[in-house]
Amino acid sequence: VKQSGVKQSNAVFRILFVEEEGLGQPRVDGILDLTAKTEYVRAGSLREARQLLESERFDLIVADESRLRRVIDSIYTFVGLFSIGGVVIDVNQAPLTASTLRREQLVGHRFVDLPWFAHSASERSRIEMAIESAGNGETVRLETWIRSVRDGSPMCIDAAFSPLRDQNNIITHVIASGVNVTSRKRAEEALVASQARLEEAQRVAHVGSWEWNIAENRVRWSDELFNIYAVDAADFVPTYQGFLSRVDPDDVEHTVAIIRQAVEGVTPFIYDHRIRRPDGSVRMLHTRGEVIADDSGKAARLVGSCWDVTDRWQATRELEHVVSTLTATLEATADGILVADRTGKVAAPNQRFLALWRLPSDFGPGADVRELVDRVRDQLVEPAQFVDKMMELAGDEEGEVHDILHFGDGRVYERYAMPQRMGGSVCGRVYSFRDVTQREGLVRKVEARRAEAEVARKQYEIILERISDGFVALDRSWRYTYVNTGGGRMLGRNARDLIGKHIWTEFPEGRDQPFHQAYEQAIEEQRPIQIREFYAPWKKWFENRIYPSREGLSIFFTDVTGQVEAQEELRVSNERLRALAARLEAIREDERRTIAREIHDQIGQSLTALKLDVGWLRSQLPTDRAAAVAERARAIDALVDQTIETARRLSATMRPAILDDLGLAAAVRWQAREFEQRARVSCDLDLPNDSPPIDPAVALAMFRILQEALTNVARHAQAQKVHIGLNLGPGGSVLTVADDGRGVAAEELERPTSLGIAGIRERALAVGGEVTITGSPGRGTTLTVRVPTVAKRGR
Amino acid sequence: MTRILLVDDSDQVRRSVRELLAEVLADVAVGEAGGAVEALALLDRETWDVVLLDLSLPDRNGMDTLRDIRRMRPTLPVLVMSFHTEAEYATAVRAAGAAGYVAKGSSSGVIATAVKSALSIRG
Repeated sequence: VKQSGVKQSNAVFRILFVEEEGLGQPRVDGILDLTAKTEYVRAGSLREARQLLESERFDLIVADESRLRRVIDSIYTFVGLFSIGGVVIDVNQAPLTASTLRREQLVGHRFVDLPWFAHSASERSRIEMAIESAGNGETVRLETWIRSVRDGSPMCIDAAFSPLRDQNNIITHVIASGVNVTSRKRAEEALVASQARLEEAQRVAHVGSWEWNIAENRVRWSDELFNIYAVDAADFVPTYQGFLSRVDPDDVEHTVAIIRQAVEGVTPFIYDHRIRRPDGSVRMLHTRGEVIADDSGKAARLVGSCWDVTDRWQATRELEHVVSTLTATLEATADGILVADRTGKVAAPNQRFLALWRLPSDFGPGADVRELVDRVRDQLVEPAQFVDKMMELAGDEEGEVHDILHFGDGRVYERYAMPQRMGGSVCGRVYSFRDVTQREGLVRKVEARRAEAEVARKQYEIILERISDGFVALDRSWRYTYVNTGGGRMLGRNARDLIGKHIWTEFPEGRDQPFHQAYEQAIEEQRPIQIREFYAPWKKWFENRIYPSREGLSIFFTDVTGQVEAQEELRVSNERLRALAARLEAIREDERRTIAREIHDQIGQSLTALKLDVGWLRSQLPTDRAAAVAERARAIDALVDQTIETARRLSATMRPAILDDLGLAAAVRWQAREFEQRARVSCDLDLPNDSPPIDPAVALAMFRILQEALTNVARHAQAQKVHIGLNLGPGGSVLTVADDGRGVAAEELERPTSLGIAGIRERALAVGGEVTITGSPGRGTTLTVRVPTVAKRGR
Repeated sequence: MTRILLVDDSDQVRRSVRELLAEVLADVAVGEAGGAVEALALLDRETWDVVLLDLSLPDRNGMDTLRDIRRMRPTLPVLVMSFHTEAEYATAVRAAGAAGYVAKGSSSGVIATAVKSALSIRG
């Protein structure tokens, strides 16, 4: 061994001793001297040696040559002896067995020229270089792919090329050895591939894995975990604290608790938590972890995986939201809704449904529609029909129903039944019920009203036909929609022929006449208008009562020509009568004045003279013996006095001279005093001191009105006091007589028999004045006369 | 001599009054006028000591005539005689400046006293 000059190196030099039984003890000591880094292994038999050679590597095999030859031939390792130039000198049995070639097919050929071992230019070159290196004293080891001689399949060979030296340490040959490692290679490749696939799967599934060495606080993250956290492996060194800093603040406490519990209990854990990415976005992770204990049973490491379930989490949240919205909608609706599946099992009735059908609020999912029908059928007026329909629907998945259900207690429900579809196929049925009792009631009422209205309209038309007035209805475009028979007669047409005709086309002469204007006004102001006008084209008076409506106009009209003419005649006649009355009054006043003057001028003056003459006669009588004559003279004197007094009163009654002599104010004052004495009612006067001259006719009228008013007070008022006011302003004369008596009612004033008042009005009217009488029972009466007066110039 | 202008449209009245005045006054001259116009003309032409004026004159309102006389002869006493006995007359003629008011139909004595009283306030 020493002579072989095995080159010393730093690696452990391994030697296999093959010692057959009886071979004797090899000189192990010498070998041991060779180098301290030598490891030797003994094989007690060829079989053992073969096993060792297959499982371990040796640098040198020491054995008997013949035996060695057998050993070499019996191992599966390919062994070849090449010349330094690379020509095959000898091979062991293994390659021949593997390739089914004969030794002669190999020996004598350059190894690299053999088509099976160096199948490509690059492999050929690598092997040439390796053989050359070995020839230069270097051991070269390489993996090379060759083609199987048998079937051409690729085989991976772990090959080594080493120099073989003689006793003089001269390199004489090259030793090639090789082991078929194809299956190992394949397994390695599969492992790599499967690891890559795992990484890929993690990436695709957003699953990251981690491992935490607790003692060293060393954390390892998979690539995908970095992706999930959106951090760069180059910048972020994962630690437990670093992990917690990424956990959503709301979930940190929970996370810490979960992990503490797992570590303390050495138990696996599953939990969900949120993390925050550097950009602020939140992800939801589903984490599974396991705790690996050390020999003492304490937690040493945590390993686990994180699954980014954000999408699922968000989808779940959205779904929850949708479901909650749908549920709320279902409960908020006024309709009762029932969903049943294809088998007729009730899935989801809303509370409204239960209330509508008087069902207990816990009646719910799982019940059968048939059972439901049985429970509610008796509420209906026609239960059989209802049940039949429900059964029919049960047998017809596609059927749709919309109908009305009548209840025994008067309720009316509307029913909709629609198939529920999912992905185009029927998965159940949705029933919707709505309480339309009120609506149905309203519909019936409206129908009843309509019928009533129709009856009323017919009655109305009958009435319209019977009234003597004309009646026409016009629509908004001035067309007749109705004309009663009387109306047609008055218009000189057949009523029916006018329907649909335009009023101003039929009666163009009526355009812009007062009636037309009144129609326009009624439409514009939307208020009824009554108008009585002379219709020049027909030389007749008409009265129209015009009622606007949304449809147009309704017009009642009457020919009032006779009435107007009669009224006109009456007015003229009244005026004549009034003039006559005034004239009579004037005549009477004249007569009174004449009589009063006659009394004064004739009788009064004569009496005045007579009085004086009688006085003289009496003074001339002798006082002694003519007592009888004197007595007679005194009697004459007294008679004259009496007569004078009578004449005065007569004159004053006819016409108070004071009115002509002293004016209205003095006459009023005198009359008031007279009244006080006669009626025992006190008078409160408000008169001007100085009477401006006024029209004697006005003064007379006012004086006579005063007299009449005071007569009324004395007769009816039961007054304590009368206030008399006279104002003779430049604009007019105003006389006021106000008493504090029982008052006068309005109807008393208008009574035709109140001739006193009628006379007062007539007198005022005759001089262009007006009278107002106000009063109420218990509050006295006030009479006011206003006469416009024109002041006379001078005196 | 006392000069008295008697204004009255009645001859009878004028005669009776004239005779009464002649009887009760010692030295009297009585002028007579039947209406306002005539009276004012006499007033303008002659001098009088007192005027006896009837308010009821045929040609003019007595009150107006009274006021005219008072304007023409402010110091001349005017005794108004009237058939009417209403107090308003007395008040009115006083306000218009008359020396007195005596009702026709009064006794001779009353009238004589009234004339003397009117004369006494003269000048």
